[in-house]
Amino acid sequence: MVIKNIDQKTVVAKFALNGYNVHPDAVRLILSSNLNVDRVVEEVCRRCNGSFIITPDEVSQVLKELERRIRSEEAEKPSKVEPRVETGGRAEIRVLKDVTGKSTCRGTVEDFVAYFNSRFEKIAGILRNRVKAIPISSLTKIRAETVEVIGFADNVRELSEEKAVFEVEDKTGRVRVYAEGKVKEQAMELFGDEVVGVVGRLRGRSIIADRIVFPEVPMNGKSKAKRDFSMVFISDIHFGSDTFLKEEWERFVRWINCESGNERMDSLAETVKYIFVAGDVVDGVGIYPDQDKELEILDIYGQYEFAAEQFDKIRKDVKIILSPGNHDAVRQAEPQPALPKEFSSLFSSNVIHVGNPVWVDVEGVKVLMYHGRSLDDIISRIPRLSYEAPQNAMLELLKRRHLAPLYGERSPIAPEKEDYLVIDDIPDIIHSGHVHTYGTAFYRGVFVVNSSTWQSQTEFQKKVNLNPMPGNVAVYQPGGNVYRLRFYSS
Amino acid sequence: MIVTLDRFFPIFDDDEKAENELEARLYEELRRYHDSLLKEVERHYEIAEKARKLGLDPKPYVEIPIARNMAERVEKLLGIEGIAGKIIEYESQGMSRVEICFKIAEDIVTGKFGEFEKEEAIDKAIRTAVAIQTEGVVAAPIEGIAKVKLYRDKDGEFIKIYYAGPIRSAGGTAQVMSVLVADYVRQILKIDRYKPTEEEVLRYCEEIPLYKKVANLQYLPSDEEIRLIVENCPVCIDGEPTEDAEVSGYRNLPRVETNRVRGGMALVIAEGIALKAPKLKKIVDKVKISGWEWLDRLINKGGDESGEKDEESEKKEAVKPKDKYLSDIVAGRPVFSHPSRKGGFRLRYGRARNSGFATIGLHPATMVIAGEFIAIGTQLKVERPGKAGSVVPVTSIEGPTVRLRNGDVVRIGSYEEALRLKDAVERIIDMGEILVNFGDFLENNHPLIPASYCYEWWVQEVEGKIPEGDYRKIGEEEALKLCDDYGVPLHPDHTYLWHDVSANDLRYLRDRIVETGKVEGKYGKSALVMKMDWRAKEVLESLLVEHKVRDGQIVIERWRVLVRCLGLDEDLKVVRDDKESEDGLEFVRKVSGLDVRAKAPSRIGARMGRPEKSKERMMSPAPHMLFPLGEAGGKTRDLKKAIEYTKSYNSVKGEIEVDLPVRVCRSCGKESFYLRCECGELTEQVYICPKCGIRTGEVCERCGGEASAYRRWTINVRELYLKALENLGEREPNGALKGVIGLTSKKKFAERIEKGVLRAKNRVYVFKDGTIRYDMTDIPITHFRPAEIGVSVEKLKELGYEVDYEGRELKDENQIVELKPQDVILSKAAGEYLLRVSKFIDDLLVKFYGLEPFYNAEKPEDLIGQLVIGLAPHTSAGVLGRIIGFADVNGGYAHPYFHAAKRRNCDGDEDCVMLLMDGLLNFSREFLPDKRGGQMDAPLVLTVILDPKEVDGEVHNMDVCERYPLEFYEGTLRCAHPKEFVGVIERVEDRLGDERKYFGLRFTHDTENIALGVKSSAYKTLKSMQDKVKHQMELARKIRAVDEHDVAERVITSHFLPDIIGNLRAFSRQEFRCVNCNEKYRRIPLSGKCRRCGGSLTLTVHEGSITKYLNLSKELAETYNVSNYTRQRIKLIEVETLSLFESELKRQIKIDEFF
Repeated sequence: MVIKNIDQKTVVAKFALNGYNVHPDAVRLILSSNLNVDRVVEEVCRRCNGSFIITPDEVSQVLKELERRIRSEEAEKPSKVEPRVETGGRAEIRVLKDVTGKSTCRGTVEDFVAYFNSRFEKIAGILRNRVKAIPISSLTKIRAETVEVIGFADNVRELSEEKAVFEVEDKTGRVRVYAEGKVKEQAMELFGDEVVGVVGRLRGRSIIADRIVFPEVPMNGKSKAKRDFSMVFISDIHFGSDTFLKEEWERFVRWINCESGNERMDSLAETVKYIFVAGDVVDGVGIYPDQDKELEILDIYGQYEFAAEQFDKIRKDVKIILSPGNHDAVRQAEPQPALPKEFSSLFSSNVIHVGNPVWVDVEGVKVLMYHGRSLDDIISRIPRLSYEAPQNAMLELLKRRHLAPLYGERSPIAPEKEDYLVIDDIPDIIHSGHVHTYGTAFYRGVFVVNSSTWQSQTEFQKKVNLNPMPGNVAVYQPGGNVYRLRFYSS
Repeated sequence: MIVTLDRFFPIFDDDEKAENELEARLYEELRRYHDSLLKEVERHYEIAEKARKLGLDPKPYVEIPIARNMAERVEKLLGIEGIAGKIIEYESQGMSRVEICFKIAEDIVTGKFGEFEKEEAIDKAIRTAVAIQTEGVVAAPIEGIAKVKLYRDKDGEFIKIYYAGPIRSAGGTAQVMSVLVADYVRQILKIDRYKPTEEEVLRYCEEIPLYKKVANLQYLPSDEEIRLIVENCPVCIDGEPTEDAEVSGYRNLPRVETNRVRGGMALVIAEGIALKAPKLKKIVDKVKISGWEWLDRLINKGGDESGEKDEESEKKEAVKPKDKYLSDIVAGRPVFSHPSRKGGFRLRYGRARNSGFATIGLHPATMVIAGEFIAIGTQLKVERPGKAGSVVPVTSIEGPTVRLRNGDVVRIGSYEEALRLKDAVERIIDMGEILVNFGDFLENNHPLIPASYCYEWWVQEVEGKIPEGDYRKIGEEEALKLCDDYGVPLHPDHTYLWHDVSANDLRYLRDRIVETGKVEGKYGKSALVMKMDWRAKEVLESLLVEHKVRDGQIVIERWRVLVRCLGLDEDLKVVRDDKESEDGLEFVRKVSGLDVRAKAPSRIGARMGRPEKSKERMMSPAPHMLFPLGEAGGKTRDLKKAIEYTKSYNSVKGEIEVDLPVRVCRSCGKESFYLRCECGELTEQVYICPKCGIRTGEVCERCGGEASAYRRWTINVRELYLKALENLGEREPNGALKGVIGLTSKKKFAERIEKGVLRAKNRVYVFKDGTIRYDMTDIPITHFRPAEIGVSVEKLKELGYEVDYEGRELKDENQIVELKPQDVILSKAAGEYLLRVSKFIDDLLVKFYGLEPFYNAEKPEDLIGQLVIGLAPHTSAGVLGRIIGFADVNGGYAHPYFHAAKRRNCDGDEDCVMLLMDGLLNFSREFLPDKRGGQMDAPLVLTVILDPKEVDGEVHNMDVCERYPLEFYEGTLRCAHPKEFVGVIERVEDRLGDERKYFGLRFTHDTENIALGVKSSAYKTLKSMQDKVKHQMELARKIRAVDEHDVAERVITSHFLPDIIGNLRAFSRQEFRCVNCNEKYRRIPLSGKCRRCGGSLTLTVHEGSITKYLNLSKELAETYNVSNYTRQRIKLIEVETLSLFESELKRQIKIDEFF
């Protein structure tokens, strides 16, 4: 990504940081090139070891070489995969972003460095429109009233009722930030792995924060046109578990097939064109210790066969978009690819297998589907959140523009070169599951839904005081109403 | 401290009369023994005091005080003046331990030991109770209870006890005593009871199982049990957070300070109250505390609801196979027998001179045949009676029976034979006998299970019926003759395992013999030869009948008893037949007309626990001295690196910054971090307030905050090092001279570098408390032969041994001698290490303290007669021991009393010894880490004379008789409870009343040599996990009593998969580490470089740690019949690792390259 709003001063400062003077023509050359400034500066400094002033000649040489190198790098990359287009009837589904088939992760240190740099770059890019950030390492050289920085905010500590301190890290360094009053309250909800902007005053080597700027989804003023179809959101079916609610599920299938016997219900069902399934389709094997004692179907193939059989009972003009969760037979680290062929091929053709997370465009409606592993971490971190209202935890994801803003806790990360968990593309709908409770909300024009489960309370949930709300189904008519259907009566 | 004998209690009452001459003699010998121990200790203290007076150590006096008994240990551990006297007073009034606990607690809260604040008094009362209950030996009273609080809220006041992790070392009984005593004083002080809220109860219900998951619990109470305990226990059982795990359900409760898991609390509720409810009930009834009636409900919950059980069902319960010991199986540690399986270890009752007290006696041949995985001292996890035990070699029991590759079936009778045949073994048909003593059944409260028909039993049955003589090894003909002439049961050596086969199998075998067999060479040496027949051979194997296979014929050399038992005469004609019986033994008894008994009615399953150990204690990295070097010493903390260190370009070489104490000289006022100032005068500790920066007392005069006893010093280690070498007159020692990165003690007192130089020179390593330790697996011994421990008769006489165990003059080094309670037999390797330690001590005395050398030892044998301190982890009291010899085993043989004094049994645990002089010179409390548990595993006091009454009570159940009576063997057949034989079979407890507790113990089984057997388990000698597993599985296939498929499944599901999954999960949420400075990062810095030193960063969880077991699991799953479920788990994990560690883009390109 090319950073546009970089000026001469910044370039000069960048060189100064490395202990170099630079000729003004050289600066112009760099700015006029289409290359990443940091990369150029780094390369130039490496080359010109010891020279007093950096000349345009030296720069142009480096530029040429870099361009050549980048061209060859791009050639190595496979050509951009065209979005998969699934058409059938009037339905039109385009998968916009999905890791499936594109995983680069090899599990090296470099992968982790690249991963977090990608997260930083992507979110910093969003923030740069709102924060005029300078590199943290140049803070010591700057004499300004207010300063603005962008970076990972971590190490939050409460100093007193009124005061908290945290640190911000960008590529050039770290700075301590003090937060008081209202800003302190904001700071206390920082998770430690999200990228934010800080606006404040320099005090010694630290910043006194006036404002913490979250990347946030912008206010989405324009109201979308009402569409003539509905979408159904479900997740966490856990086929194969001995606590799977078979009867309730069958009632749901009857409804979707317009066979509920209730006229109003049936007419609503008729409008349904898409079903989104946000993971944990089956209970899986070996997900937790001694799971075999709580399984009805011990065989993983058996579980998916049963799942496919069940989905097959749904009328075929309904498209089912299915992404995996932590119980499914794919890697647990996120982003997760779609189910492998041996399982996906069991399903009928109206089931579309995608990864987790996934951005899908359905007739112009953008849906972000994410299983929701990080919700556990978020709910246990912020005391005001609870499992009873999972949608509120999902708002925190939108606010941070990241699906797993806590690293090192329960959400496992696969260090891909690109961070697929950044919400760089703002969806119209965000759909999660995982926590087995139900909740919907509208947030800045985005429809937020967490879609409960088809499994009754497990032994484990009983122990940790988690009360699931099974059999709750959200039906949403884009631009129109949300209906909550209950297929479970306790 | 100078010790004189008269400061001790009279150990003997003089008016006591010895019963006979031998006892009088042993009594006299023991008196001299104790006397000599005291004198020696006194001599040690005199020298050590002289050395310490020089002020070169943290304190100018020896820091290990002597405690004469439990009362004094308690007083010294807790520091409550006058408590010892009171305890002794109550003891002399005949009060029991438990009663004393309550009485003393009452005395404390009623002000008999001075006025304390209410809270403090309760605190002291509870700690004292725990201390008394644990003999003042373990650290639990000081470390296991973090604090006691009188908690006030709007509803009133109640007592909260905050337990910490080390409460574990107190054991269940002492744990519940703390709760009970707390309630007792609560009632005296009229404090309200604890009333939990519903949320608090549920918090306990969530937290205790969570603790079981992250740590471990012996017993996990059900939710109802937890609720019952929490709702009814009148004091609040709280705890410090001990685990990182947090509860997820009931968080942020107003009266529970932490969301993290409180291990101490979980232990007290689960392993204390829930598990020890019956014991608790007994105490409550005895002391009559009200409000504990609910215990009945708790006790009944655990038990059988059906109430009264008839004898038959009880018997069934007693012998039901139990597979608990197979859970948590570890790869590379083989299963030797599945539960109660044919071919497994056959139970024989008895105590060898080197067994008892949670041990397992095996024939040395069994160790060899079991793939050499079992060595002397190896821990076995067993099906019954207890959970585990250390293996000891016993040659007077039967070894294994094997089938060789040529088809021959051989009973292996000796270690040498086993070594000769081990490579030819194709199948292990029978593992041989396992020797377990009666005391272990009693201690574990396990019903007796039917005894094998053995010589000890037979001989008591035939006594008086047959002519006197030695019948231990008799031939077939004699055995049959005895039966026919006197109607006695068939000799056990000639009794086969008839009950293991069906009558039909026997009829088949008989018919084959009748049809195809003939006896060749009738006179002289004869043999039964029959045509090879697989089914018949299998029956012979099951019976453990030795035979050979030659030219398509089965050759049986010992055939007479066999054919007789099958109802044939010596011409192989059927004499008698029986068509009804189904059971093999019943059939044999009918057709033979002989009283044939069940040879192996009880089999005991076992698997390998942890391997035996005999190794010097090394911290990692292992320092030579407790001197801080910071980062200057590099990763190895090497002083030789530190002296070359320069902080920046122009700083002085060897100048480093480290935390050291602030002390001020009394005379010249100069600051120092040592006890003695350069001017020669002693220094005093001062404190600096970290906030105000002023010199002050322990509490800051200005701000009231806690002041610090240390500060950052800039010191020149180069100068200090050169000075140290000069002081000693030593040259630089070879190799590294390692210090520590920083000190963890409260005041950060450092050792003198001189000590490090001498330790490095003698290649010995220091432990955190300044002492040098040697660790060994505990194994027991009560009688020894001088020859087997490398000590001469002369030397023994010098050490006070005059007679053998039967009172005969000691002349021959093969006589059996009873061990004196504090004498220890160390491993050979220990002898060599301690020799180096002794040289270090001598160097230290001569070159550092300027005194005479003490040990003057040139070879390990020179250390015989020297004193050591025995000390177990989790305890804080050392026990005095004396070296009397060395055995070539990886373990430490000592009297069960000695182990019990350290509060150990011999179930596979290890502990250490150190030279007494080392402890006296080098130990200091100042070195102990300033953290929870820091006081543990340190010799805070020393028990000089061991009183069996004041050791861990478990040893009181050890039997010490010469033979078990006939009624005992008969009792085992009806699965009698071992309690029936209390008072019948003599145990240590029966001797506690008088001085016979010290001598005159007996044993039922002898053994050739206590060091005969495998020395080092294959688990240790095989290096890679691959090899270990390969050998483990090979062995599993060979042993008849082992189901190799089950082993493979268990290894995968309980070791490999959890390991792989754990690492896989850890991988994608891992920390990063700097390769240079070891700095850790929760999330990798964007620069990819260490922020502190710029070094490159590395993963803390690698691909290798995930995949290392994956391939092994796959191989196992392919080779063995592993469940589909497990196979799928492996497959899914493989898919996951591929997805994480292989780039899909890379893969695509690779495929493209083909075209």
